[in-house]
Amino acid sequence: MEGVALDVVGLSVPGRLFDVSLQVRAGTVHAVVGPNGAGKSTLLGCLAGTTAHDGAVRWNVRGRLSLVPQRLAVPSWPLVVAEFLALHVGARPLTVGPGHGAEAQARHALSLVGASELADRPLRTLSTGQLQRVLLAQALVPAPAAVLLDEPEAGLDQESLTWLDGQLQALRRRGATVVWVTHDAARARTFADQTTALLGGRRA
Amino acid sequence: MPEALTFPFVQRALLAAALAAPLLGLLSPVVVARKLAFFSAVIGQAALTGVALGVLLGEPVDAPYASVIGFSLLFGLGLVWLRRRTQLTSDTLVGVALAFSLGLGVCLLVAVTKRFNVHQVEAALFGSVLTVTPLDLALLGAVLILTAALLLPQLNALLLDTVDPGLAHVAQLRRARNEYLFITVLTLAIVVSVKVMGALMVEALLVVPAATAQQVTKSFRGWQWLSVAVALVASVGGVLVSTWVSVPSGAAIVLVLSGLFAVSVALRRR
Repeated sequence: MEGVALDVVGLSVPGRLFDVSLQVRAGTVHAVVGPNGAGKSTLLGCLAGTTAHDGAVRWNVRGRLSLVPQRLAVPSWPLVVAEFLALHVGARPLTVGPGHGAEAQARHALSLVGASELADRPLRTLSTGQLQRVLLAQALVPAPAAVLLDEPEAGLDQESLTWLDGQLQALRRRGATVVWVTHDAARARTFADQTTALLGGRRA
Repeated sequence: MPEALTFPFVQRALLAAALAAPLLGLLSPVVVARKLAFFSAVIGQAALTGVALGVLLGEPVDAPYASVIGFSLLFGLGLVWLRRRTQLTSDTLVGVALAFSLGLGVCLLVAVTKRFNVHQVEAALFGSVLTVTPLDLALLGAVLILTAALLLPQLNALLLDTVDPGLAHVAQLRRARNEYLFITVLTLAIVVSVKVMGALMVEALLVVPAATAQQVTKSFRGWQWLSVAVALVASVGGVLVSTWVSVPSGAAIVLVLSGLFAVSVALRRR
């Protein structure tokens, strides 16, 4: 399947998703749209491998698959942003500090999302918009071959939404394959190369 | 030097406290982050059941390690296995396990006290560092080294899994293996610390240091090191107190820990 980064065939999750098939071309932004309860996040869970399912999910990408979850249960315990990002880049144990290489990667990731000033902030003190930037930063470094975005626009103000649109375009420019779950069909039409609509767990 | 510190059994007691503190203090933030306080308490109680089992099976009453380690590991790993295969929440399952462990433990302890002096069992219940043997010290040292060797390389993976299991899964981390590994290390740490803390209070040294350090730190690194420092101050301080005043070492350590926790809360308010 030349040029196909993701091939999904007959995906089913009892009560939530019914015989969904789709293909995503490499290096494109593929939006999955639908109202609440349509099965979008369930579909994304299947693609990420976190939700048990029937049917086939075949990734054909070389490199890292990264995920931007819809929300993070922000830890109430001490963890600064740079440490959180270091968890993703094969750093030394946090007990001894992540090391210069991992720290540089963490700061680079934050610079990509325009949030360098957040490096030393505890995760639990971030606003929704700041947290969204940090979640995107962890998905960008190391550079991903494919990114799964689960309603990244949730809770963002207009300024942050404009920033998010820019990030989607930047991902496409870098050649990453993006599967973007969103309830905003108008935004999807503007920024996605392909769109799959779901309704009641089935393709609409 | 105070005369008491010249006695070999006091020196062994202080060494035991100085080994148990970094061991439990290092694990403490991970225990708190992964919400394993209740679990740790139950493993402590399982160790007590293991002591009774070992004595009944003919092991030495002051070092029934084969039974304690075997029973506690079976108990801890069995709990993780059950939680991963049932829909029950962790605290429900741990509650069930606690009931079982207590029931079994009480039956075995009653049988043990028919054959031995009840004061010999008290050492396992409340801690008795003044009866620490070279074997106890060797085991504490070995588990400390084992913990550093096994836990530290997997620490970041464990933490990512704790923050968000989905992110850990996508990162292709071996989540199940890491969890079993951590529970193994945690169980061993609890078991070898029972002599210092006592089965009923060993959980305190796994929870209070992190709870204390959490009040005044922002980073995980700072949290973990301060937690070790708190555990060290409380352990050595508690042993000294129990040497001078005739109280069980576990209780003395818990009281010092509680004082440090109160200070940290007061500092945070400022």
